[in-house]
Amino acid sequence: MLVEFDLIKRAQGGDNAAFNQIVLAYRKRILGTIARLISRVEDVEDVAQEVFLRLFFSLDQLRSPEVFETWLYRLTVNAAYDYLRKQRRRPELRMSDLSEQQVMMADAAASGKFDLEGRRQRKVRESVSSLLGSISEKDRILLTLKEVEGLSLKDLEKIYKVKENALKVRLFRARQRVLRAFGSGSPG
Amino acid sequence: MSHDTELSDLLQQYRRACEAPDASPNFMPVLWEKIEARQSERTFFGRSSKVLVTCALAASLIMGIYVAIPGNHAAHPFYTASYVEVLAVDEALQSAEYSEPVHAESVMEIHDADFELL
Repeated sequence: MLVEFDLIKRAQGGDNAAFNQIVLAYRKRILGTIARLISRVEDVEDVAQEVFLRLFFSLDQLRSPEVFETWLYRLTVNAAYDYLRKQRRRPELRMSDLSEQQVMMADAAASGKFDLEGRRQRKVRESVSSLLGSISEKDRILLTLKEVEGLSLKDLEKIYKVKENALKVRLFRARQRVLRAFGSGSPG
Repeated sequence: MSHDTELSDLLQQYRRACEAPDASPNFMPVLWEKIEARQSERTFFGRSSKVLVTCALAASLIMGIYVAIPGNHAAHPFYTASYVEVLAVDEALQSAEYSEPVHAESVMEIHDADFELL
């Protein structure tokens, strides 16, 4: 836990300063998780604010401060899921759709210099995002939490309130689908 | 290297490529703006629903009182007369309609008009 139980209880009682402290303590972690779940840097902050907004209005429903982190993860998963669902309906412009010159110009505009490592990372993000696009938003989030975030099955069981075996089956199927997409996309 | 291992490697690279971004200086002010906007929205809807419930309760109460006062029923013969009495009154009204001499007069008028034309 990044905060004391007492702070959570105070925030539950309507103490805005306590809520502020909770946000400051968990902000970095939530931003990171969302960045990996949605893989669009420009929208990470918006989704994170939505998570804390939902936290603010649902904090009184939290029965025990011990399960706060699981609760927060659940809110994060739900907000990311809502975002991804909306995003699927919107046409997306990817860097890979642009010409080499346009990419260089975009890079130069973003960082002020031609950054090779930045481009490589962007390519990785796009590849994984495209691969995860071959599965449903729910499976995408589940697979990301397990394989990228490194959450254990026990953690996922608490977040999803689903039995471990059911999660294993779902994860296996999702990974198989991603593997098929990966196999058809890579030459090796 | 199998696809399975390659995929695992790619996902690890993805983790490194998606490091947590730093929050902008506007993060907290914008968050509080959103919270306040949502709060005022909720307050508005909460108040509106309270007003509606109060109005509905008041209307029910007024109607209840109106129905409960016996004096109000006297004004309506519908409630005081029995079914047979209502039928009898209705019957009388209908037969009165048929015995009106209005139709006879109008027929006569038509005949007079015809004679005038001839």
